[in-house]
Amino acid sequence: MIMVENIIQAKDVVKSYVLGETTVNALNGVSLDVKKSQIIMILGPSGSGKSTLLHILGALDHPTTGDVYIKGKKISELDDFSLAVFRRYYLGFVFQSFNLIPTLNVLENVLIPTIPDGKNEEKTQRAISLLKAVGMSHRLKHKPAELSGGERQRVSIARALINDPEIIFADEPTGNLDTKTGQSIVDLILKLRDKEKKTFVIVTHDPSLTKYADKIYHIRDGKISDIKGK
Amino acid sequence: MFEIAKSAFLNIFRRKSRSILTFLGIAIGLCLLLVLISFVDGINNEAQSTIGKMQGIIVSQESAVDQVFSSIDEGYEQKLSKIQGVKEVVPEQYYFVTEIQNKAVGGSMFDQPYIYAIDPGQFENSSYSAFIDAIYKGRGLKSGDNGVVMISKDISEQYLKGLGDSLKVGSAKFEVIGIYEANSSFPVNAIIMPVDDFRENYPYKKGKVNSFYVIPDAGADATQISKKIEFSYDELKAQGQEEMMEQVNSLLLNLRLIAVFVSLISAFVAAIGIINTMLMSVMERTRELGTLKAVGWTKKNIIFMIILESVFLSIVGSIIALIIGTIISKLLGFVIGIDTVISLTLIFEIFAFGIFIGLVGGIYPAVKASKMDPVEALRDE
Repeated sequence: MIMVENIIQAKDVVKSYVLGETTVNALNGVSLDVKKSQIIMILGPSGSGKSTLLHILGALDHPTTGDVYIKGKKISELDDFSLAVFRRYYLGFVFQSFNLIPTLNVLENVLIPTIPDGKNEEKTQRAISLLKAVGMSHRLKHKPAELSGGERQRVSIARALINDPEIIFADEPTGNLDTKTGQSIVDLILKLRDKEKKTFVIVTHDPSLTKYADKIYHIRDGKISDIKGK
Repeated sequence: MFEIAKSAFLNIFRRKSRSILTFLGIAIGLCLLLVLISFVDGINNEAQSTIGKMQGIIVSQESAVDQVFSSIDEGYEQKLSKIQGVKEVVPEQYYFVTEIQNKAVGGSMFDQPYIYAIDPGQFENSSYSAFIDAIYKGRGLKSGDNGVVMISKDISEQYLKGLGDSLKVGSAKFEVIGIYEANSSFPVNAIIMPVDDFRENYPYKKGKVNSFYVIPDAGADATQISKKIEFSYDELKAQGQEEMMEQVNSLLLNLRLIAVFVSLISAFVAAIGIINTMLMSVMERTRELGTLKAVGWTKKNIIFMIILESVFLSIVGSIIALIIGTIISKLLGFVIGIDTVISLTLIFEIFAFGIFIGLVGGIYPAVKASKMDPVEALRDE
């Protein structure tokens, strides 16, 4: 039933929260497909449910009803442990505020997702080459506080790639960056899609980014209001 | 695992002053434990070596809590001498002094000076070697002595009386011929004098003594003799080396229990301190812990890291406790006059206890951290 080229498939996803005595639907029946090696953007005003959708597509949260399949795997059937392992190997995350660990240096931060498996030389070499690819190889021993915003986001992209996941989720990746730095991050994302065949799911409210998207979903009031692209 | 340990280690240096306060919280409790136990061990050592030198048996009234309050018939001297293996029976008398150098002496029952009266010839006997070893100036009583006393260093200092000086005890005057140093086994407040001098100058119950010091023949079994004495005379209590040791041991056991109890309370407080520190630290790092979960750390990985942080805090606390505790124990021991003992076992116990506190204190914050929602990592600031 699951078509192979759809690396992510969401069917009638509903997410509701109970606030006091009322139930609020953050997502109200969202269905979408993500094809491999595409850049998908989810746009919407704040409170539209776009972040909730990202959490659910990224296997960080379970839908109240509906199903999410990632690489053909039904996410709701995975327990906490399996979800953690699944995220570790198949999904990468890039956050708006970078979320680097302040006590660790650049190289150590990139290696964080490998820690549960035990550090090895191969991973360290990969981290160094990833940092080289994102243009950060000259700052391996620097602490996050010593880096600019753009540099931190490059490090966090390298961290998202360390276990070579197929899908990378990004929440406002350029949100905390100036236009020029933001553009360099976009270029990096395009390069990763074209050369490494990575799939990106990006949440943004920045319309200037949409020209790079293969497919755009507009979200409003917990529902998809518009789809652009193929 | 090493990498998680390294992160945990680095994390305790994030909030230096808070970590330092936590170290101190742990250190105070452990320090107290170390000082108390080192004292108990030190007292134990001294008591063992003193009692070890005691060859005789102290015979006193069964119902008396201490020799000082004991009163038994003089006539037992004859009866006790006849027991097989007994070489000599030395009558002993105690008397609380109310006036020294014409001044009333104060103090409670426990530190009021008292006269310990004994036959000087028998004192000279090697059986009193433990007491003689404690002499630091002058000499002990000798056969034929009269009008002389041996006093403790404390009394000597209090009344400024050195060797050869005359000390007025009650209404009689004596020449100081020896000064001994008090320790945990010898009283700080005894005036030792020949029994004849005592009977001449102070009231005592005719025909009564406080106790007897029974000296066994060389090679005779003292325990056997004390058993025989207690068996033959219900009204008497006989304490040889073994019985004294038992008594000291049970007293020390109680002290040890008190020490452990006091320390447990402070350890409990320390554990609360750790829980508080770790909870705050976990709450501050909500986003960071969420990120770790988002990038694939399992609950177990996070629990392990937070518990390790807590254990690192307690290990540093233990090291501080060890250093400060040793200094306090030795200084205080020097002032009080007890050679405190900090054994390897004690050091091990302090560390084991410290690590235990860290483990226990870390569990709740660690579980809380592990339940952190990875969604937190993506939430706007």
